[in-house]
Amino acid sequence: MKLNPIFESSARRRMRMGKTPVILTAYLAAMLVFAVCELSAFFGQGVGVAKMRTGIEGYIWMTAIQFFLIILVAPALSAGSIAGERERQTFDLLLVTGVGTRRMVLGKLTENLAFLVLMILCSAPVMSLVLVTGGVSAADVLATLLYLAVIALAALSVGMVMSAIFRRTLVAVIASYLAIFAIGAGTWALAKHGPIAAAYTYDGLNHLASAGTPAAIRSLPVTILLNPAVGLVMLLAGQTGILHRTMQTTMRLYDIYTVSGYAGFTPVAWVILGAMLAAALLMTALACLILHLQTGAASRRR
Amino acid sequence: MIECNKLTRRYGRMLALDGIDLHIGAGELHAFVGPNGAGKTTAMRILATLMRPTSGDALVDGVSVVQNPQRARQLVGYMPDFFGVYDNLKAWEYLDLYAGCMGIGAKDRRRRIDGLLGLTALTDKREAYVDGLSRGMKQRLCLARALLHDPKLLILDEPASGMDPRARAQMQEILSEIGSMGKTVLISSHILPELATLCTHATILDHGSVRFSGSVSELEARMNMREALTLRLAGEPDEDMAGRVEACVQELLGITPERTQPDTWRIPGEAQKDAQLLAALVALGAPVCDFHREHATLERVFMEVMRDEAQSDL
Repeated sequence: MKLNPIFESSARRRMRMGKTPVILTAYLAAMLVFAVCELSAFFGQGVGVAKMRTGIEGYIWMTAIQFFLIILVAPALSAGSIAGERERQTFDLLLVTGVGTRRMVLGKLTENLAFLVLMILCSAPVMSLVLVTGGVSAADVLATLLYLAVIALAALSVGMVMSAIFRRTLVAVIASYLAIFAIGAGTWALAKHGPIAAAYTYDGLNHLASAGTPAAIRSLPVTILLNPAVGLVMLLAGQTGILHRTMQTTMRLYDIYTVSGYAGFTPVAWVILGAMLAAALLMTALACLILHLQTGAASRRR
Repeated sequence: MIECNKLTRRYGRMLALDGIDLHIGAGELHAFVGPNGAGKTTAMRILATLMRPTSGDALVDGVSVVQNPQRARQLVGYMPDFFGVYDNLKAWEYLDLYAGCMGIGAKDRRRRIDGLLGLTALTDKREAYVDGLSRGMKQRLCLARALLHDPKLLILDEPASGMDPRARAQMQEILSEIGSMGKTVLISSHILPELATLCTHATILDHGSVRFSGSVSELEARMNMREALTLRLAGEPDEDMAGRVEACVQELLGITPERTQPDTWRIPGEAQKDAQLLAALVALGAPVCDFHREHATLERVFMEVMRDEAQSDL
């Protein structure tokens, strides 16, 4: 198989950078600290059903920490990828090779994703500590890691768009954080406080939520579908049954729990995952388009 | 190899290239000379397909850089006036990245990379990290990068800028070798004496217009004609002989020569009557031992052309 040369070269450089092992170590250390704090109750005391809830809470915390670390790291990675080439003055050199803006964006994006997936995979053993305490299956842990990888992809694609728009890495990074914050806070605010939020219905989800209960999630605010954090919370709620009250009260999702119990959250979480994937693809295409227009139009304008 | 037809480029209100027509033949080592802001880099970027002209067109080996930039890129190797290198990448990996982007197959890549590292005297730096190389080495590595796809035309924007004399000499040697490979090379530089020894042809640009385009020898010959003539006699002449020499020059050229030494005169004016003057002096019995015009340097030629054009503009 022929590797994208930009992927290959960027990956090689990334793994040689001094800060790479530092980022990986810090990432794992942050998770391990929480794991130890949460699960210390088990050390030397055996395993019991009563302690299971503590284990599950530890698992939820570790997932939450991973989520925030990914949201923190991803934009910094991808926002610098195209802007960095411009700052390094290698952008023109790549352009004259005829490599094309699409391969350039895909090469950079896949390399960034590969690094974040590596970080997520490194965290798998720490996350799997929950298997010792019980309450969550190995398949659940894998599903959560997959979910985090898709969130990483979505966050990276936002950074990629900003990297295509802005010429300076720092500006692109700040713009990416602002955009991600706007997406998260905006969709949440619209769903929670927006006057029209409760009026939204999404009947297509009825079938997914619970077969034979057509009115199951009538009150689901559509904007919630664009919020990765909500998707992750729903996934965890479906897996653990712990977070359902939060869901009910803060997200106006009363019907789901009423009709199908906490298991009803999981399908909605997967729908949000699909929406995130679609958004990531769209944003990647947008980054390619912006760059394509810039390289054509810039040559006209500059 | 290059045909520019009414190539115009505007930056807002500023006219960077004012409808230039330019012909550069295949195999030429062509110097692109001009003051800062003359339009050299703009013209080179258009030829490298990194910029589109406001109007007009440029053909590289018959391929339009405007209509068919993708095809034109395969014919052009471009080296800008900056390095554009990555950290944490070895010399061969740097070339491998660009070779991959150019679509050169893995089998062919290694052979080409090794060949170019040899040509640019970097074979022993194959495994060295690019960011640790000296300025001259980085520049040579960038030259190797521009040659990866074996282009017919090589465009080098200020290839010797910021290099020490030794590195410049090495670069010059490599460029001569590239010229002998039959490639057309377009080089811009401010270090004119080097271009004069290296290049066969030159174009002088100023304010987006072509002031001169032709062979370097033609340009120099044109200018040599206008350098002052030096006349020296063997031994210090007596006043009678000196007077006769000055009268002879006065009669033939209508100007009074300047006696710079007891035995030497500096005679301004053009060279059309040189042979006649020499014959007349010998007929006088003047013991002429030196009769020559200074060899114009490209730098001086450049300044002269610029001055002439400025005057004709007034």
